[in-house]
Amino acid sequence: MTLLTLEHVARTFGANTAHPVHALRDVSFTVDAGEFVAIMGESGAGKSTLLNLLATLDQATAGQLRLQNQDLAQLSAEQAAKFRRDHLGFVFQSFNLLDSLTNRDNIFLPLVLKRTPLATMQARLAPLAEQLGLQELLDRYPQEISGGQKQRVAIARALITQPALLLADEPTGALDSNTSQQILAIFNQVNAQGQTILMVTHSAVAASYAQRVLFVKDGRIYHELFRKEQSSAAMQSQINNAMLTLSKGGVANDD
Amino acid sequence: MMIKLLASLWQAHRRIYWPAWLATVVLVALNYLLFALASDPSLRHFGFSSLTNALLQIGIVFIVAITLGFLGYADNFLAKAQSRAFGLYRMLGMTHWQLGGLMSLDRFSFLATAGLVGVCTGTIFTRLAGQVLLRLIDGTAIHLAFWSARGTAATAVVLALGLVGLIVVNLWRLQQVSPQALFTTGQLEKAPAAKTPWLSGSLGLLCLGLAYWQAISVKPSMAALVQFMGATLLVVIGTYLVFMAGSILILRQLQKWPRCYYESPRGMIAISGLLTRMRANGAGLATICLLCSAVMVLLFGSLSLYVGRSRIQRLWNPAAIQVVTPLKQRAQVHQTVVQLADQQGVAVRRVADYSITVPQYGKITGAKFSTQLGGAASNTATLILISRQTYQRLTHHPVPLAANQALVYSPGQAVPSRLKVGEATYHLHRLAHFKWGIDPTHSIFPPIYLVVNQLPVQLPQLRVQAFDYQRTLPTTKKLAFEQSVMAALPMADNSYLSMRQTIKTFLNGLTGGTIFVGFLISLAMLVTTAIVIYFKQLTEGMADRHRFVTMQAVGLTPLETAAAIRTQVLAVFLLPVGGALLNLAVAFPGIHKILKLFSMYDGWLELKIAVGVAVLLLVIYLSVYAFTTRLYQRVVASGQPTDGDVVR
Ligand SMILES: Nc1ncnc2c1ncn2[C@@H]1O[C@H](COP(=O)(O)OP(=O)(O)OP(=O)(O)O)[C@@H](O)[C@H]1O
Ligand SMILES: [Mg+2]
Repeated sequence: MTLLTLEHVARTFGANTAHPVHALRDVSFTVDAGEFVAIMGESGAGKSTLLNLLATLDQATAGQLRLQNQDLAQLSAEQAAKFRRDHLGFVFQSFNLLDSLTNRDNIFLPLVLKRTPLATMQARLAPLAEQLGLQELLDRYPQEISGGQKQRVAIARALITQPALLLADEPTGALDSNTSQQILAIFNQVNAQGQTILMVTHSAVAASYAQRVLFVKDGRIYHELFRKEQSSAAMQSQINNAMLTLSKGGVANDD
Repeated sequence: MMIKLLASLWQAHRRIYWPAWLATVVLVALNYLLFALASDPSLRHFGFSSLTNALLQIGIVFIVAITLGFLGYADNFLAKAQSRAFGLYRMLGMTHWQLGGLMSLDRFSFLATAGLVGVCTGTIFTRLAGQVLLRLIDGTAIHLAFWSARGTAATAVVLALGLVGLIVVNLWRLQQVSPQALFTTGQLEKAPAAKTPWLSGSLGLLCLGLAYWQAISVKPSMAALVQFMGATLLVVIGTYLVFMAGSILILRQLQKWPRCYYESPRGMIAISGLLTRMRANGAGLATICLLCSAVMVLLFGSLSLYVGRSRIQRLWNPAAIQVVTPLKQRAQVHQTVVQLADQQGVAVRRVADYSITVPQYGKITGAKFSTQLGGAASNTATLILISRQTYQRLTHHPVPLAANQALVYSPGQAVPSRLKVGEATYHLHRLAHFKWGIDPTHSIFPPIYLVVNQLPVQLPQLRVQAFDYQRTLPTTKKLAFEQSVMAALPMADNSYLSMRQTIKTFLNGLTGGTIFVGFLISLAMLVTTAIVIYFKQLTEGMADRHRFVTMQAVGLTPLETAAAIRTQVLAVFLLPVGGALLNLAVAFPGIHKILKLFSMYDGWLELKIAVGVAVLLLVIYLSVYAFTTRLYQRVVASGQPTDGDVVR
């Protein structure tokens, strides 16, 4: 079942200025429910711009984005915020936990915004905390735990709303390789339970955890790789090759 | 090069520099103004000028303290903002000395320019202020110098003191600045302390409760002032403790209540935000609360006295001169007054001549008046008896009175309808007015006059003689005449003098001076309060911007954001002003009783003044709030860090 559809999406910054920036030129792809998709590309390729569009934090200048049959362009700012908290979960590179809230309250925050009864919130937290190993950390504040732990709290915050789509922007960018692998393993785990994930990353290792990798360059999708039954080492080398070709400016060929 | 760096500092932190600079200008102008007035020779030679001068001195002490305190506060704030830039300069290779020089030059140019502009501003307003002061104290015309060298010098000394203090503190601070500041700033805030401060919180509440109880239960006696001072001290301590610890206590409790925390987005945002910064901000909020309280109490007290002074005068002096002496000195008093009047060309006329009983101090318990020594702490009234004939002669009103009946005139307190005095018990009929119901001793216990058929024989009597003279006499002439009477009369035991012009000049000097100085201090406090609020909004906006961005990412809508900001800011700002209003309300009965020392008995008038003062402050406060909230919303909403290096 198709969850997300992008058709000829473009995003231009400063359209009316002397030097408009075409961050996205023409992007089309679809994501099925239950997929784990990674998006790769060089710095400035437009990855974050794409993610912001999907996150309803920004509006496309052309083309169409549909998530669960909702046209994202139709949403007002108010509706977008509500759509976000009902259908989307976020994991950021810099965690973005609130220092004024305990970890538990940070996880509860999106549900509080939806005015969920406390009992429901607690019922949802219990299995998540167990799966992510957070039981001991809940009553501490984000400033009192490590980066990897913060990211696990942030994942719990993203998952507690049971979102249709989990968006992650460089989720392992601020973590060491060991911790990164823990986080990615968690992603695989929740994906196996049916969670759709869209992740932006620089790292071939991170991308190799995904089922499919999209390569972005100059605001376009240049290439697509499927993991299928490959080992993760084989996938990594394929990704590295693709990145290499991409940076040389050539158009990579699927076969 | 230095100048360029300096200019870039001012530019980068313009949101701190300019408001602080403007406030400093106002404070400097106030300093100059008070110093100039206090040192002006023409303000030294009129009746009770020493009283006015003493009030101006008190004003100077306050204004200087406020000025230095403000400089310290603003500097602290500025230093935090600059620490990032200074860290960068260090990293780029500036030595400590160069950095110290840059900082000193910065502070010097700040104070020097503000001092210059402030003294100029002060010069413009000093003559105006002098005229206003003159009006208020009803003094003779004075000729103020256009520019006061002494005022300027004194102001310069204050600023120099401030500058030296700031430089010393900042040199010490610079020792701590290391390039690391670059990496550490912008980090997350410290986690709110896990421990709930039960002890200090309840101690604060206890202090406030005790102070409020003292203020409410205060009795009109000499001890009242002392008690009031004690209460004030307790309020100061209690306010700080309550704001710093008590609020954490309350917020913690609120957190446990799902309806206003987990099930209310606004509640959660506001409570967690407040909790995070209550530690740091409690002191700031307490300061705002106390400043507001002080402004209101000061204005309320001096305005009440000022508005009430004509009543005080009517009560104290129905005639120009009243002399109360034992009966045997009656002829001598009359002769002396007439003689002196003749010598000085004053047309004096005796307008009343009657007997009263010796004033008795005591208290009323139930329906019984019991006499006590004048110094007794439980005294509440001064009882004076006059005969029915005297009353009829003075008022030209025939009053039939049975033996057990009496008329009562009591401007300062309610009296029961039956009263036992000594052996006799009287049924009382209240009198609304009695022109000669004077308080000869000017004691702090309000007078109660009883008009009875027969004065009790065992009570000694005094003779009251009242004189008037032409009202058209110049004030100096009046004062001179009254002074000579005062010097010539034999004032033995049980003799009392009350002179209208002398008292009027004294009261005008006191109330006018107090109101003048009170207004100036209030102005200084308001300026400082406004800046404290402004700086708080600025820092908190910076700290909150990041938070709101995150919350919007996880689904806080723009409307909810605006509402959450309003709730949070309103909570922060209503706390101190609410506390200040509470303080005023509690101080009211205490001040009301202290004003009784000045024979101010009109509680209704005082209430109106108190409400007026409260409304005035509220209006000013809310406009500061509205302005700074707009600023806060702008800071929170703006994506790019404008004053981004204001880190807490
Ligand atoms: N708000 C904006 N205004 C103008 N230009 C922008 C804005 N945001 C992004 N851009 C430009 O759009 C292009 C794509 O930016 P984007 O942040 O999407 O890159 P990215 O792929 O996420 O890079 P990185 O890997 O470094 O995060 C860049 O050239 C950037 O300068
Ligand atoms: Mg990016």
